[in-house]
Amino acid sequence: MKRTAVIIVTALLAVACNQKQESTSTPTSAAPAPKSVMHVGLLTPGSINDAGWNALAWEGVQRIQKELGAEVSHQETKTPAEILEGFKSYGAKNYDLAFGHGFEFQDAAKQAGAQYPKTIFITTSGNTVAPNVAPMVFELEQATYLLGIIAARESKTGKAGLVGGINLPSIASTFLAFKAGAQSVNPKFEVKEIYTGNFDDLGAAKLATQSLINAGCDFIFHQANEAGRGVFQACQEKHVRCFGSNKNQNDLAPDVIVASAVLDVPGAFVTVAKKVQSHQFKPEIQYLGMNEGIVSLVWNDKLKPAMKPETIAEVEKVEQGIRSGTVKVPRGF
Amino acid sequence: MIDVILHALPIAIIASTPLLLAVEGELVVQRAGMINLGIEGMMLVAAMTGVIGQQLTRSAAAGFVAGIAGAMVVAALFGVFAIRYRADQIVTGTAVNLLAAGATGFVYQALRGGALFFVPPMPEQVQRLVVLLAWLVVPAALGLLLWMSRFGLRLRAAGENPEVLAHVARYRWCALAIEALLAGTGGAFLSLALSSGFAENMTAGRGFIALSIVIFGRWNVRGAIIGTALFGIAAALQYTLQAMNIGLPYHLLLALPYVVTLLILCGIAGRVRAPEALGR
Repeated sequence: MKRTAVIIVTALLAVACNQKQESTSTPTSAAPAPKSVMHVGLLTPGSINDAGWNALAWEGVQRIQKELGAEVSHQETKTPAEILEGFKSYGAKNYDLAFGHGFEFQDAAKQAGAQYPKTIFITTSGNTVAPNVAPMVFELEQATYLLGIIAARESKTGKAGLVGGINLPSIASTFLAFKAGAQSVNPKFEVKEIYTGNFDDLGAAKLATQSLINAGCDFIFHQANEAGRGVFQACQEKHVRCFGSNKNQNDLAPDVIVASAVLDVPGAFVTVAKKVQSHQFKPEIQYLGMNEGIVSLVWNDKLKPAMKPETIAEVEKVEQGIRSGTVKVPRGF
Repeated sequence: MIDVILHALPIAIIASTPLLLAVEGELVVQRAGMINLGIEGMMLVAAMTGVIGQQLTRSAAAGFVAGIAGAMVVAALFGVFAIRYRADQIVTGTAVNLLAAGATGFVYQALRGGALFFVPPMPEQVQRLVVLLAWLVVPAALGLLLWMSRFGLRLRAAGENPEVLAHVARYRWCALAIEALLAGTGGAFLSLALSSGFAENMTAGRGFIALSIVIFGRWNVRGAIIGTALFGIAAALQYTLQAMNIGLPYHLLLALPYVVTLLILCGIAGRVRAPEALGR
């Protein structure tokens, strides 16, 4: 009897914990009311409090709520089945726009898009296009290319290290650009890559960083989302310089983070939502980079004066080249 | 190659310290006849309470005390069901893990992540002290306690043949408290010394790895230490191999520590005999 009771309690707990976190909030009354309220959904692969990739998407959707008076909703979806279910739930509720926050959302977007033609499905990164499906492509590579130049110009050992969570195309692509930037300065510059296999294990990211430092890397760049904090801690302990990614992370470890490759994801979300609201959306890859004001390189003002003036001048020059199109930054996909 | 291993050794030992503490704790409870799957949740809660304790007092010692306290609460929850009400231990442990993951995630989100959970690096002396405790002092103490004392004999009797023991529950509660002490220290060390703070699911399966190391280490202290050291060194080495870019896919290298530990421990373990009353 007791055993049965425990099993029932356990089962209930399991169900309660597996309930997808879904939150819907109504627009603030002060927002200008369009004829019909736009409904916008967001699927993220992880917690929206990761101070990184997923937090940015949530901020974007909140800005859509505030600036466009939309009604917004969010779900955390980790598996392909959950993703498809999440997209379909927005399609079934006749949402105008549903975002899937990552490369891995494409297949589900295409599938749900065919079933629910009234909803526009946008994935952050990717290449799948259908009449109501399109990817936003952030050209973060433009900024990581510049980080590579900084590393190659300032490194004393001639080696830099990269720590990634999982080898996703969007992550590998920023690493590719970093390498290309570094080798544009010095073709012999060595860039070592490590993947830890997840985005949760800060301890593993720290261990990976220590291995890179041991191997002689004196600049570290990460694409490990939340686990990036482990990277910064390893760099702080050994006073090795590093770079922030996605958000301006310069304040997290101001003594070692030289600059951050910043992506204004919220701005990108608002840009796309505006297009959808005004019926100007075209089914094509939505490129968003430095010229659109979405990607930028943000220096840590505390460490910038320690850089060689030539380094700073070169970064500025190449940035102009990227903006005008004379410098082509390679992409991984 | 020798050079590479020597370089990786110190960071491997420090990085696998939380795992070792968990292995030692789980060894004690399994010797007392319990399988505590909830050790993962115990470490996760300790990782969070440790950070909160450290951030409120700015003292690493208080962080460890808070971490242990957090683990004790989880242990008590497991004990009430598994010892007091004799519920299925596997089911109870799973429930404890789900609860711990949910509760810490909820608190983390409610506190909006951020600054409270970003702690400064821990002083090196404190780190060294914990590493020394985990790798030398605790194994010696456990060896003495479990195999040289009357208390240890009775604790093991609770795991081998509880029918002959008058106060089985009492010894199992003691074992659980020892586990909470060790796993709590491990969880707090993970978040405070190795991770710059708390993050959701940051234990990343260390509790489950600890559970299997206890089994493959044949439920003795020597096996526990060898198994953890093997795992830790292989984990650090595979990162070094990744950095050397030898052309193997990184997924294979990530699996290396598991494969190496499994093969070596199976090789030296020979015939395995679990505590007779394990899980009952």
